[in-house]
Amino acid sequence: MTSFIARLLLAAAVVAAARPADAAKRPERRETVVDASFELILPAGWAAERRAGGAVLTGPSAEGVPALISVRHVGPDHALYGTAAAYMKRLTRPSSIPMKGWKNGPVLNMEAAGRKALRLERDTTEFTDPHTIAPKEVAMREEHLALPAVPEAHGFYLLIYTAPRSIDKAQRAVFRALVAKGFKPKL
Amino acid sequence: MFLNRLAFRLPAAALLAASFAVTSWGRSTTNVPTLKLEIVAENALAPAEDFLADKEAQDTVKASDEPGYFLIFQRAAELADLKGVVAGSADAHSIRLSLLQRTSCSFCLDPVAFPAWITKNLGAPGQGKLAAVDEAMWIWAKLTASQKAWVAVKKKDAAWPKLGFVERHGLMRDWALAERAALLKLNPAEAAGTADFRSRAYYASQALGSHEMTKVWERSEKLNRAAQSLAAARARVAMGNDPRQKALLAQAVNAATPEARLAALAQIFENYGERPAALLAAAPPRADQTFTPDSRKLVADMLKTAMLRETEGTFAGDDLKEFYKKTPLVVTFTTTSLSALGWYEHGGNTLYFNERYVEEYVKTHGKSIENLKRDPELMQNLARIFAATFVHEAQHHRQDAWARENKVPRTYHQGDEVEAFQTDALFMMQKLRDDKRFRDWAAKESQTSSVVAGDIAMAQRMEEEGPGYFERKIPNTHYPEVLSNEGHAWCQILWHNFVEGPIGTELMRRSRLTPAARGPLESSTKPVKPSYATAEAFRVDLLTVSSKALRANLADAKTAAENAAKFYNQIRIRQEAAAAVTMDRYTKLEPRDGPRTQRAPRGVPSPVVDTEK
Repeated sequence: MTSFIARLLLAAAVVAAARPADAAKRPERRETVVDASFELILPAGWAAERRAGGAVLTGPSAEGVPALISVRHVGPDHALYGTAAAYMKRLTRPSSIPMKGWKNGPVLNMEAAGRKALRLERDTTEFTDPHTIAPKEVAMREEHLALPAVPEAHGFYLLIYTAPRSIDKAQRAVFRALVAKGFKPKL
Repeated sequence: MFLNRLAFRLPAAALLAASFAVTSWGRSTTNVPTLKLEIVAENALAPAEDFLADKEAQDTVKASDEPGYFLIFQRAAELADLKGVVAGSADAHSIRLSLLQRTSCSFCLDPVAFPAWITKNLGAPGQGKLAAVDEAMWIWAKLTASQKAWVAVKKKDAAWPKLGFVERHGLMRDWALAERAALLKLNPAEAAGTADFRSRAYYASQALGSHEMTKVWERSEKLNRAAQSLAAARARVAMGNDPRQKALLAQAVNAATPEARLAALAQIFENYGERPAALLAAAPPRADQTFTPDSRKLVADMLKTAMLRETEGTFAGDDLKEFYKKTPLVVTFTTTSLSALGWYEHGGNTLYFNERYVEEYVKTHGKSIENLKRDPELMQNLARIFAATFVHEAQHHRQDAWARENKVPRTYHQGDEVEAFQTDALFMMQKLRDDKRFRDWAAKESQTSSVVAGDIAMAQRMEEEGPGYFERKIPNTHYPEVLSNEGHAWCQILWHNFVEGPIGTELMRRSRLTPAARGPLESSTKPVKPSYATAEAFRVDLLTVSSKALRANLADAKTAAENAAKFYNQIRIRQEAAAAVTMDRYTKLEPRDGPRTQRAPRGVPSPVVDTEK
């Protein structure tokens, strides 16, 4: 069954997790993503999807690739990295895989949500339609922000922004605003 | 890629909207007149969402007023659905295609009412989409000069503001089809002409479905490659005084078709002893560069062996060796208008690979199909190009075989793609690390092959960010139109809830008919159709479907709904087990906080230069 069921499925999918904001108290219906370990205000026009340990926010697209912001809490017993510094190290250490067109910036210290954080900006690439005859390369810009939980023994938070470079300027402003005012860690 | 579900096109935005997690959860009223006023008469989204989210309230309303319940539920679902049409990464084209799937909606095709509803009900997030909605609705100010001229010729320009979306779109579709026909005859030789071609093609594509412009885009690609090569050839020929080359250049400039131009240009470069890959791939094939039925089968069999060999010594290779000991595998080439490199159709044991790519590969290397059969290196490199796709599609094969073994319905979901991408990326990561010859080949091949470059990029993501990268990225970026496992479970239940009322009512109606009136319906063999354009069409058709089919359909829906949670959990357990295996293997290759060894540095990281800040 295709179109009719598809519409029903569509409705179901929306019903499945669409939870109304309290319109009476918040006329603009600003939506808030709530996780056990953080809370954030959804940027206008972006959609949120829950994922293990956090959420993925989807914004506008360009060249077939959407801007994404991933927010998650990483526990100290994580299989790959236990601290913000270890995460950054993993991202920046040398590799033998022959990549072209990727550039890491320096890992910088900064403040986010009132905490000391590490930030890495990088230029990367993505390919639209992987496993097709002619995947198209899209130049991407990323920002990885890692800030500790309090106390640090509780792990850290990762906020990862990725967007096509052609829309980076506008979408990075959204990410920066989210970090500055819309993200509240609970640990 | 999973071909069987290609028709399963849900607008991306709707699915992205599917998982808003927000603070409050409203309780719905159960007062039917109030619900009818707010949801049915006023199309208010908030009470509609409250009602949909409150199963208890729905049950109360259904018990007190069943027809009223269905009326309210249907409109509430429609309103929630419309929210999805404009959410997330929806743009004018996706909104337009979504609206065309909703031609029986209450008000969404009204160029005034729909934007007004968005403004009133969606607040700030909706405001950001109003321009896209206007464009989707073919607002006059957003039409191109060519589109306006077309409308004027049809004498509809004065009436345009009053036309509904469907009528406007009908005119724009006619315009686009005329554009498409014109574009397929155009043959610009120079870059400026090809840029104009692409621009016209883009505007035409905005009025057509996703696959309706394939031939135009293929022509555009050929024209583009030819124009670039023509400029290069012109410079080269001007440096010499070879009359043969000059004649070929004139032949290219005046060629009647892009294919003839590419052939002339390929000859020019071949005369210089060069073989530009892109040019050769786009040029028409020689007779010995296309398959015969025999060579197609033989080369596919050889490729199967070569691909399996290419996976040896990797985790994925070990899995496939075991799997294909007890499961048959057929590899075949198929001509298709799709751009997929390979795919698997569930229920079978065949992996399909795109024949067009194989022929382009042969052309690119200036070889023949016969060479492919006889030159081991040519075959091995083709197998290397296909290796990641092979591992990916074979993982879908394994998923399907598991479902068959465990008698679980095959519900293709986003998690299947995440798992397949994780498997092929881990394979590429391991292969690039452990197989130096493969790594050297890949580094060289990726300079000209975006297929290989894309596979390497996935391996790099796996190495740096681990399997979690694919959970974060793949569903939203590449498969927003595919449901999650959770979505499938919900849909089965909703489908049952939806059909239960109308089919039950119809069966009840029939039970009250006279035997003479009921007889033909009982003896009829008319089935429930596999799809319906609208809910109304479904209801109308029910009146003539055989009673046996109605009962069977209702029973199937009930069984599916009852089993939805069970199957969801079985699939989830399998998926989690597969993810655990991938993570275990990954950490063997890339231990937590452990140093990477025996690898050359990629270079000192350089600061990102962002001139736009």
